[in-house]
Amino acid sequence: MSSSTSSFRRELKVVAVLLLLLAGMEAFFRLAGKRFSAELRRIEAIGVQAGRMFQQEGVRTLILGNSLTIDGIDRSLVLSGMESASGRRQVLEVLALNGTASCDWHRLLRVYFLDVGRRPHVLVINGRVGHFRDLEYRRPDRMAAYCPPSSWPEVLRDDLRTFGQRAEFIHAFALTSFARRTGTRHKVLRQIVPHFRQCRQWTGNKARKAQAGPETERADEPTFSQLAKLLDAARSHHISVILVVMPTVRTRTIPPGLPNLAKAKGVHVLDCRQVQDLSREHFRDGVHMSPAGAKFFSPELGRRLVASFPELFGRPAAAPPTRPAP
Amino acid sequence: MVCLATLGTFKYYGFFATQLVDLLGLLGLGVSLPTLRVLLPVGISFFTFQTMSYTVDVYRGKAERARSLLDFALFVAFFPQLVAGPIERYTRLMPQITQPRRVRPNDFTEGLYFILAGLFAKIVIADNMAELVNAVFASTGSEIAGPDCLVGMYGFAFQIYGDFAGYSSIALGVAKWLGFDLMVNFRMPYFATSPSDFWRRWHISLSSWLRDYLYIPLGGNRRGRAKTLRNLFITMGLGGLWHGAAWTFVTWGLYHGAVLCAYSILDGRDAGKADARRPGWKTLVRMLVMFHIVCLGFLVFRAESMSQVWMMLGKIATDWRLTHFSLYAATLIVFFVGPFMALEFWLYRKDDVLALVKAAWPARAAVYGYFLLMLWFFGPEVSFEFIYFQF
Repeated sequence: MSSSTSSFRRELKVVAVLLLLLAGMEAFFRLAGKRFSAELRRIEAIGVQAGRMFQQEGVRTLILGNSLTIDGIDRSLVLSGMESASGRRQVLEVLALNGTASCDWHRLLRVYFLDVGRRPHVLVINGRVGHFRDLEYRRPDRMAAYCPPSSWPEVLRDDLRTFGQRAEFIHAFALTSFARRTGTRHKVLRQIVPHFRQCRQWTGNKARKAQAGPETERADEPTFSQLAKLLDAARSHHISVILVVMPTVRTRTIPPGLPNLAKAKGVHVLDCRQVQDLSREHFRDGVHMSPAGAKFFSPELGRRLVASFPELFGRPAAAPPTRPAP
Repeated sequence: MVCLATLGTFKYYGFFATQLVDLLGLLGLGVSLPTLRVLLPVGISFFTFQTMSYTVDVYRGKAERARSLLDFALFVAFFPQLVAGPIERYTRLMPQITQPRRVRPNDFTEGLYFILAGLFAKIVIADNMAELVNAVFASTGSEIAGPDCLVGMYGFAFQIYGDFAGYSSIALGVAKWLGFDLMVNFRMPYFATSPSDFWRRWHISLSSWLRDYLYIPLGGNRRGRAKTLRNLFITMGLGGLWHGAAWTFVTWGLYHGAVLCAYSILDGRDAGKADARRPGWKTLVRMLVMFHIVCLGFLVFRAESMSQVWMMLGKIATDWRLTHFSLYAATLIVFFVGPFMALEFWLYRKDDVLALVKAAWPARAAVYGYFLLMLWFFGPEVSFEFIYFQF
């Protein structure tokens, strides 16, 4: 056997080791991945929550949100606030995943509710102003974790516009180890890198600002087409929608496009940017609430929802003032 | 002339027109020159230099003219190295195109090494460093302290190395798999002990091109010290301008010219000839000094303007507040770059870029396994374009 042939065979052994390594990683993440991924567990829980909601009687309200909701909303406190304000039994579920916005919320609503014949009476969408505008979609791997193959044609056409996004989606669907790579990366780096979360947020903000260009050049109004799609889906199933603008330490301006869209689509806006007695100390980083903030804000949100839109929660609207007889 | 005119029109016309208008404006002459609003063809600097080497070699009688337009087109547009080098010589690449290709078993082994190492350098090192570096260079003076500027500077040194050496390595590997041998463009440059040693290790295809087609025709080092220094300055200044039409690139080139001159005057003998197999502490100190000289140059290279360079240098010199970001960035640099630099140091000591290919297969499998794991899990969340695509 020539030396060149044996060299080639040796290299095939190296390639075999690499393939085994890939297979091992895949097996590990398929068998034990959920134990290490809070996001995956949360996604799995959505199906259970959606089912639970329809086993109960009452006005069914679904809250969709992201980390602002995870940190700032205590489901039981919102529910008690709503029930005490309406005087009726309410059914409430909160579905929130970190880093989601209109695109994911639309898909979650479709996959877990509308496409399987579940229709909540009221849909509450929680976010700060920036979450309602169109954003570049960054997590096709997460979408692959909850979208069934039947929704693929629509997802690939409407939600994932670039080749990179589509490739990532398909890879994440096929390979669990690939889908879990972002979570694994964060988990490891959080352990070994000091101030990881805070500094990553800082670099991310810098990158977003640099991408948007100098403030003087940011003349374009934000667009809301992804949110519009979500509102259309809800409206087509006769679901009442309330957009809740969540409080943050820095009060952000609501661009005129948002109320205009709400008006055009016939949905309500509940502006919670400023809540009396909710102070800077109720936030852990200026945006996300602390447990004390959630404890304070949650019942307040429940009360405000019912007080602002009583007819949606089964409480008759206050009767219009009677005109004096002529 | 045609080659240079193409490069000049696309790449430098706008820059020189603006400078001329500004200069005339200072003299009180308000002049407006037409501007070109065209996209810069990708890789124009690389394929222009490649075709120029053909013209000059044929003119000098060192090479025969191409007999087939198709072969010549392949020489100019050979896809693995078209957009960011290495800048191949006609005398080296053309025979490989015209002669029948032979499949050599080592091509697969070496190609696999070059491709994996290149992907690691680009995706794990360069792109992860880019996130840190972009944040530092997008900050104002009030937002950062001296250590932040330092990690930004070191981060960029590793970013540009990972980015460019990564591309070259992938190009080499892909070419190997197609049966072509491209020249090695980087040889552990951050272990250089002097500027001349550095330029024998960094972007070798460009530095050897500049040596053969600019420095030597100018007289090289054969006409006395003063002319040698002048030739070094001209060569490096134009080398800087080759990178881009901006004063920061010209300054970077001149800075390296000045460093080469300073070493040539003060150092005399070439420390680059130190024994790589047994580097003593003096060699290690020289490496460290040279690395910092190179990093300082890259600060100029990366900065948006010279005022940013001065701001960052001022911060490094005076503001020593240890920030959370500097700790975060320093840890990330060690995590992403440290093991790769350890491998490079081993290669340096072996004085062989392909030392790993010649090592026992389990050692290679272990290193490749590490590359693969890092590529799989520690790629950046946002990918970045190759830096040298803009040149």
